[in-house]
Amino acid sequence: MTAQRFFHIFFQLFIAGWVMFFPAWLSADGDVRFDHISIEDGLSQSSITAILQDKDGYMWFGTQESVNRFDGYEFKIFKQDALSASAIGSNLINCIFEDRDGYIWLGSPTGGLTRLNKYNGEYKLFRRNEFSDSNTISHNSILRADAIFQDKLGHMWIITQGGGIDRFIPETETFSHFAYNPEDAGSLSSNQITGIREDAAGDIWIATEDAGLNRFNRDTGKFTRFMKDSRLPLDKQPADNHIFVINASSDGTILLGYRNGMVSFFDPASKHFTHIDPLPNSDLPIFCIGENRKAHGKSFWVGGEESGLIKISRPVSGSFSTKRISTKDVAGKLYPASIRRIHPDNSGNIWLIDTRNRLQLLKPRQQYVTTFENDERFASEFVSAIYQDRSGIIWIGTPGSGIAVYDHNKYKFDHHTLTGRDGNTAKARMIYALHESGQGENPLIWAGSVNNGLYGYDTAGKLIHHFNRRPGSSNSLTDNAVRSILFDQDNTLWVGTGNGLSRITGLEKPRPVFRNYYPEGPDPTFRGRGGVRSILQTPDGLIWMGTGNGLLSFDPQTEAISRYLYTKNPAQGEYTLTVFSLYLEADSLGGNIWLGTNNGLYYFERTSGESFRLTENTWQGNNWITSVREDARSGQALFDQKRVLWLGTMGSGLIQVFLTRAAETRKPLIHKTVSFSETNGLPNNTVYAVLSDDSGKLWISTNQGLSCFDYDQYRENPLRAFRNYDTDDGLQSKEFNLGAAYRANDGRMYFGGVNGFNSFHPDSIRENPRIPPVVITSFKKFDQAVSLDQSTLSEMTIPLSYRENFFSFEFAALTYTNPEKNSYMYKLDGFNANWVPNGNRRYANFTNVPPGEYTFRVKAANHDGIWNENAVSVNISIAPPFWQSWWFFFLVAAAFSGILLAIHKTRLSWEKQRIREIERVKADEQIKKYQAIEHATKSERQRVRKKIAADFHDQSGHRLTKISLFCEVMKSQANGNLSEDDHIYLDKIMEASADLHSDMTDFIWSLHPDEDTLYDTAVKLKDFGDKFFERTGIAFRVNGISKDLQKIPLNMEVRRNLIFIFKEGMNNILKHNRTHCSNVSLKIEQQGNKYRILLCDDGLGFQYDPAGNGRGIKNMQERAKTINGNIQIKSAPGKGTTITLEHTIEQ
Amino acid sequence: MAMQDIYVAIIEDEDDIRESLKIIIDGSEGYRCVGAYRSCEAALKEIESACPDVILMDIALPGMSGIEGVPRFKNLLSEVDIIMLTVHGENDLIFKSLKAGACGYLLKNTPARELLLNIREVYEGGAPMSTRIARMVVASFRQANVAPSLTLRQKEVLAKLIEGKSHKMISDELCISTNTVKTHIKKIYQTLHVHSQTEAIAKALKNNLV
Repeated sequence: MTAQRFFHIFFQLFIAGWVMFFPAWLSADGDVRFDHISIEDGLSQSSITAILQDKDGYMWFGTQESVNRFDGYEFKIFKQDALSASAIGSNLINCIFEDRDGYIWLGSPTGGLTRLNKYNGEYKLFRRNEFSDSNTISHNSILRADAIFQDKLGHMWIITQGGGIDRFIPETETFSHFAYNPEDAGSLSSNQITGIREDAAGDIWIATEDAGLNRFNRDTGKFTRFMKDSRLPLDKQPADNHIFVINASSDGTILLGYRNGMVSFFDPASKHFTHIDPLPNSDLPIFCIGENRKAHGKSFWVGGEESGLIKISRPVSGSFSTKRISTKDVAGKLYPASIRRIHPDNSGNIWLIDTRNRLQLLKPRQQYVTTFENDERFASEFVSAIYQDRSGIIWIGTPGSGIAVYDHNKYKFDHHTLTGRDGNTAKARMIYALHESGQGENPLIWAGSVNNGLYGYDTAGKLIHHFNRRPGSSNSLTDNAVRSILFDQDNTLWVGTGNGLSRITGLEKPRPVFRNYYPEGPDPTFRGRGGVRSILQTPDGLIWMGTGNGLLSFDPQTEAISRYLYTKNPAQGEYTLTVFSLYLEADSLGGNIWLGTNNGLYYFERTSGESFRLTENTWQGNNWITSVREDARSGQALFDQKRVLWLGTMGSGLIQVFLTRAAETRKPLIHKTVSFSETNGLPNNTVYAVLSDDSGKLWISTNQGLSCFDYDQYRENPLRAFRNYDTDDGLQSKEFNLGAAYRANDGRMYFGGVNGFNSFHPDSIRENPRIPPVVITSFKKFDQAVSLDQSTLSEMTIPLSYRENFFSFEFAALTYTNPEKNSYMYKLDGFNANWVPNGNRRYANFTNVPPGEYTFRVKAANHDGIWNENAVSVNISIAPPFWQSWWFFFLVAAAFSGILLAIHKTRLSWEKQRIREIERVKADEQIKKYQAIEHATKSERQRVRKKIAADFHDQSGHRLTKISLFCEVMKSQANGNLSEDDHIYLDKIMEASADLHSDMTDFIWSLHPDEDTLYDTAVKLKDFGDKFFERTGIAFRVNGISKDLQKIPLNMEVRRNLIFIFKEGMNNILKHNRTHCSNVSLKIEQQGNKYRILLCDDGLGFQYDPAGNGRGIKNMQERAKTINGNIQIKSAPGKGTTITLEHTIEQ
Repeated sequence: MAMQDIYVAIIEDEDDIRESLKIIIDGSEGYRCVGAYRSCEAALKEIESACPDVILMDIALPGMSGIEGVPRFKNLLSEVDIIMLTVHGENDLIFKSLKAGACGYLLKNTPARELLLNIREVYEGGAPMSTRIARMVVASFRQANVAPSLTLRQKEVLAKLIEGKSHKMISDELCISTNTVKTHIKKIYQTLHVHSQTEAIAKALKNNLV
């Protein structure tokens, strides 16, 4: 032996030995797993002081500042605001109790007693202060969690810190207080009450801390005392006057625990005490005593100071026996715990709270109690309350970390993650191979990881073996990626890795022997194609391996290798057949091998070495077959005597293959295939492994959890064939791995995935049978909540008016295991024809419901799909609006027919009128037509006339203008060359031409067809006057111009003459009156069929001579005559002048 | 009171009339004729350099009519007052000119005295309005369907004109001088002009869109 080799061996021994000192564990999380509820989930505060489940099923949590009611989804917080805010901690609830009527009683350390109506939130306070009357609680401090008790008569008993005990009678709402009275032997023996119990006969027993036991006499209101008395025989008196705990067993025995370490069983009927000293060597006090529920009065649990957990067995006959169970601490040391509370659950676990408020647990068949110190599963250090609800869930309240929930119904699968020797779990999460070996004696669980080799654990979870690849060492695995594991007939361990095969013998020895087979040279059989994916051993001893490049057979004795379906020297990237799974055909001849490959299903005949691919026209390329299993009932009548294989595929789900045999060759042929995929209920179409259990059900691992497929169930009811499980049920993850599955001989199954692996026995996978109670949590009409009393719900009818036909219900199934997986169905009888599936939604809205009588029903299923068919229901009645009632209808009908009659009559008369009118209109139209034609011709003529005149006027106008302007020019350029006379004549020329121009303009104006009323004439005169008298200093006013004048038509001649007359008149005023006149007014009046135009001035006036005295008066008179008008001139010297023209309106 | 000369431009196609007006204006104290043109086109070329305060514009001109020319001149000289010259005082045309932006009108053979006084009146901020023109103004505003932005006073003046009240009566009843009445009227013409502009734009837009 060379020195080198010596060192080598020594080194390996050293390492192996060294590592053995650090025990590594297979953590079996499935045993105890906690879920946590905290403020993030809606809990109002994280220090829990008390827990209760009420009759409806709601969970109540008392915290330091309120009471929470939990329905599995939401927390409803009841805060007692009216409790005087000055009392610190008045919202701190120590004690929650539900009485028989459903009221919730709350006790607090300073706030006394509160009775809460949980449906409407109303509460009543019972608190003693200077304002309260004497009929209230004797003391405001309630500290004990069990301070409130209700006896069979319904009387409430309350233990306060003030001493003594209070009794409250609900019917009369009266309090009585019982206290120790040294002068009354019939009073309570002491004020320090430790507990109260009722026996089977209905008697009340009250234990005191220092004066024994009292029995209450209801008739007298007095107590009978049971105290230590040396005069009495031992079995007629308590073992000690200091009773620290009192409890009752199911058979009516009163259990007592004493300060001196004794325990008594007291029979209330015979008044007989049986004393037991559970720890003879100790006289430390007993704090708790409880019945072992499963034992039906035969055994009890006792805990006290440094007692450990004591089990007392009471046989039917014979003496008691005690057994003491110690607690094992973190370091592994056993010690007797000081236990103040014992709480057994219905899974056989015993939960303990020690005197330091820490949680401990005794699991069934365990020899010692374990703690949760340094255990991250239970995140709090201390425990403040513990409660088991009716479904068996343990609720653990902590002072500051919310609530920890232990629900044994939830996690169906044990979850294992590998912890290596270095304590590191991260390396070994991905599991690709699983195996169980050594049936019977010491089975080992083998798990192959993807990057840290192979682990072997015993059933207790202790790591026994860990093999990985150590470079340079031949006694290690060929590779760290373990893909397949086999224990052969001779107990040799075969490990297929990503890079070869390891053959390990001598496992029981400290150093097992490895023999490794690597790919030779460039042979890529093993290397780089995923290595050895599957192994099986045929009865003849040959080891068969599915590799990344075909099938290999290996003779363990000769070490000869034969290759099949093998590509020699494949190039990089060239396709080779990867064999994922091997399945040995069960056949009397020893069977051929089915191959699940990346190119479909192959059948390999061992005798000939031939293999062929099975396919069929209709079978669409499900190329990747991950696993092959033959059905247990293959070939039986169920399948028409056909053989049936089940194939898992990557992407096409589960395939059932029916096989026949070819006539001559007897080779298997596909008869037909049936696919099962997501549409049938499979959670995911990627199937990694398929195992079958003893009952013939298939367990399938996918990318979305595990599925259990019941083929028989499928034939009956296809919708319920697949039962799917996910992480909520305890799976390591939803994602599993190809080939990581193993079924042990006893039926136990292992499935591996990306986060460790799960193990379970299919027989113990049960649905949660707990049927959840359903409650209606709220009823809203138009979003306004109406409070409902749950207890009277079914008799209640909610009345609504027709306008309130918009309402909604909220409901919940009070089950606390995966409540979000509860499903609901509801139905409004009278509105919905069928049950409406509502998924996991907890509300139902109804809008526009017509008037009528309805019943709303809702039922729920728990997370495993177990339905509570007893739906909760409530009636609704929607009243019809008045217009839908029958009397209204008749009223309307009567009115309606009356109206119809009236309408008919009117229409007849209208018809007659209409005919008459039509005729009249026709006649009118004729007339109008003729008038229009006449008018059109007339205005046409007028227009033409005007146009001609205007043209002429234009031309002449210009010429006249020139005449004036030339005169102006002459005058302006005169420069004194003109005489005064010249100027005068020039002015006369200008005036004459201006007059002529003006006449022409007026003439043209008079032709204007649109200026044909008196109004237009008046306006023209007014405009003229404005301009005329401008800058003259004479005020010109007009009166009487109004739209009425538009009704008076004037023909052309009249217009022309009127203009002329009054222009002349205004001219005269200026000519003769300029300096003496200050006001001129023009007035137009109408009287009947006459009108008058008056022109007045306040000038000099003149002597009027009707014969005419110049001033154009003759002209005016003539013009007036022409138009058949009447002109009058009134004037007198100094009195001004008025010219009046009167004219009759022409028709 | 020292007065600045009023710069007057004349656009009139009748040579005699034009030349006569020019002589009269130039020959009068306080007035100066800065340009006399026989057509709008000719005037447009030089009017900016001439920079008159008042333009006497013949309504009927060859080529571009006086009415068409009014907005062009207002564009070039925004402050200029344009008085339309008309032979026989045709109301329609006068009204059109007022809408186009003119602020007064005169008969062509108005005596020189009157003419010059009118020019001064317009230059100083007043304008004449007859009842007939008043009615047309109001009708135009109503047609535009827009509430004209006339002040209360202006509305009162307009209303009284329509009622047929004389200028003297209007000034009596509103307790203002006739000059103030004239000033209001000129402002009313400006509003009329603005409105007719918006009307025109709206019409043009409408036409483009349609």
